[in-house]
Amino acid sequence: MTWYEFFLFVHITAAVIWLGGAFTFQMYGAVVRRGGDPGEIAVFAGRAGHLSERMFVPASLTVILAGIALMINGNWDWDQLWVIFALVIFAASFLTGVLVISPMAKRIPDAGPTTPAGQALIERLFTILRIDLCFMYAIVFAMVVKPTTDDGWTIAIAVALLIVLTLVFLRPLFTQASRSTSSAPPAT
Amino acid sequence: MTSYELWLFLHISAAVLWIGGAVAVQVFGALANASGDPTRSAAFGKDTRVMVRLVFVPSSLVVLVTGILLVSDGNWDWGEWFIVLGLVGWAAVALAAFGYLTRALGSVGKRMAIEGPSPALGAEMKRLILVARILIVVLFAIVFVMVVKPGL
Repeated sequence: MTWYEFFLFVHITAAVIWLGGAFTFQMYGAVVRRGGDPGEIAVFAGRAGHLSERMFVPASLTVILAGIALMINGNWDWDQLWVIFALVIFAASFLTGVLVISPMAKRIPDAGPTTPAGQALIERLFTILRIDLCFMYAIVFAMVVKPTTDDGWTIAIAVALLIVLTLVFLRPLFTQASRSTSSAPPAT
Repeated sequence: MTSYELWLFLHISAAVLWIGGAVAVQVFGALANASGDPTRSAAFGKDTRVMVRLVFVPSSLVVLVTGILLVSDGNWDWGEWFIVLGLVGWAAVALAAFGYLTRALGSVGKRMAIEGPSPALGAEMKRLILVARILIVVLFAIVFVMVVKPGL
């Protein structure tokens, strides 16, 4: 086994734990939310913190470190489209986690997880996580296919899919926002 | 993008869902067990059955089908060690996880909800979680074999 193969195994294993875990978290969330028990939903949302600290953060850091080791060991060029895309999305996801997801999750206990405001926060949190996950899978696609500027159609289809999925996932939030606007008391 | 790259993306994505999902289920199981609340353990057993039906069985089948397509499209030799080990490992894990473990977890969860927690049921749950952990190790060993491709 070469060093490159070792780093590749570590890189893939960490990505498996990170992305597979995040997807399962979403699916479990959907199952629990379908049950409709606000208390159970609140307990589940509280697990996001545990999973994030014990699973997702270490796994994501391992992915990036092993990825850098692969770039150096495999003499890959840093200016390739798929490398730039992966690094930009990773950075965006990291910043979203620190600046948006984490503060939002911390507001849930204050809002009261079973109150309408708390439930709306949980809904928003799941939506952001779902969109984030789509972009993470786009990184997997970029890593496997390694598209260049010559692969115009492949890139266009992947981008179109990402836009459609993002809009589909954002739809409940738009509905929620319009519902709260229409139910707001009229200004006097 | 070639068809080989498409199969490879689907193969890896499905493996991510299956194996990463199984790791996450372990964490959920440990949290439910640590809570000491039998209703939570029962809910875990029930939710896991739903997850297995909706995610794990379909993703494991996608892993197998796309793996076969990769071997055929990439003109790999079916006698290669990494392919033989991959197929044997897949069959063993799928049989143990979907044929035995899922049902056993669901049944223990249900009994916990009805009878309440007991040392015997707790021990049974711990044993099943240990079996699940062993299966996850086997799955990661398959990933290792697929990446390193020993014998090549």
